[in-house]
Amino acid sequence: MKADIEITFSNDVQENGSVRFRPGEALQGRVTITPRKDIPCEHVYLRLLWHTKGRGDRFEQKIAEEDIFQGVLQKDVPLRREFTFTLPKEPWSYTGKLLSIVWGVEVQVDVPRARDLTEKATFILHPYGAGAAK
Amino acid sequence: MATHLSETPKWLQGCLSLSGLFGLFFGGAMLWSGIRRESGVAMIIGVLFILLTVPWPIYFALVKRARARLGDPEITLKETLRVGESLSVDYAHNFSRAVTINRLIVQLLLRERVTYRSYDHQTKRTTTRTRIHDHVIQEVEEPAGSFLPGQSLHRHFNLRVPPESMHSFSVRHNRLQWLVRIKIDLPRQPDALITLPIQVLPEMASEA
Repeated sequence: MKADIEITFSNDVQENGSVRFRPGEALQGRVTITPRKDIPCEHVYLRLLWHTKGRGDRFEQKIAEEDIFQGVLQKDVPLRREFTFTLPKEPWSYTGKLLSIVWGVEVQVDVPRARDLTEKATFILHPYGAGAAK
Repeated sequence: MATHLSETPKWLQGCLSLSGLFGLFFGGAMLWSGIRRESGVAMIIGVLFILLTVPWPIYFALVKRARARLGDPEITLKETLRVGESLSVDYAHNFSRAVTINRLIVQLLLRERVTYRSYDHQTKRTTTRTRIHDHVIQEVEEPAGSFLPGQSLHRHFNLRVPPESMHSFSVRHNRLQWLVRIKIDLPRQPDALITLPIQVLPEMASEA
């Protein structure tokens, strides 16, 4: 990878090694991109999204998107951005046998004529617990 | 809520019943041909066809007759609730004929229903398939008994959508559906099933 990308949350609840937020609350965090070489990029997108996972065809919904940088990411110069997203009321995270619902914050570095760099940090959106079938 | 008893989907009952008629004619023709030509193979195929297909329409006719004797119960429940909320199910069944019921089983189910497309490289066709998995979240049962014409059976069941569970969910190809399923356990015949959908909202109940 041409850069180290780190996404951290600042106001989450830690539960059994998972990060949890409640529906409707604000999700705050920070993204840090440390390029290992100069990377000219058209955009650096930061997104809040969820998708289905499992046997069924994938369904993805983008809730929010911010274009946080345009230009050249300088080698060894970290790009840091704080972010705040207001989480929607639904759907809650779910883990089942055929279907799971996964929430995450994604960073996409849009590099022209090359493969984009992406990183995703997942979290649980549930008012009570893990959102499992049982 | 008025309900109707059902087990096997009607389209499947229809297909199996038609296959029974087909089996009767085709198997009968093979058997007759085998007898006339003294061909053991034709006779065996004919008998096999009849044995494998003809019982289905007879079975469905017997089940339908038994269900008609049983009649349809009245079930009352709240159809929209929140996560963590209790659900009471009232079951009332008036019998017009003598009936014996071993027990009533009430299940709270969370059904995962997904659809996916798979591509077959040999036939170069895309097939859409659906898979279903039911999680039995809660199950309660009550003994019933024997009832004479004019008697009735009343039962009350308490269920609860667990607070750590999930609301109803539906997007293209992926669905989570909450159901209440009532099984009427009848002696010497398949259970009569009633399945009722309920809507669970993405909100926590205050009792949770």
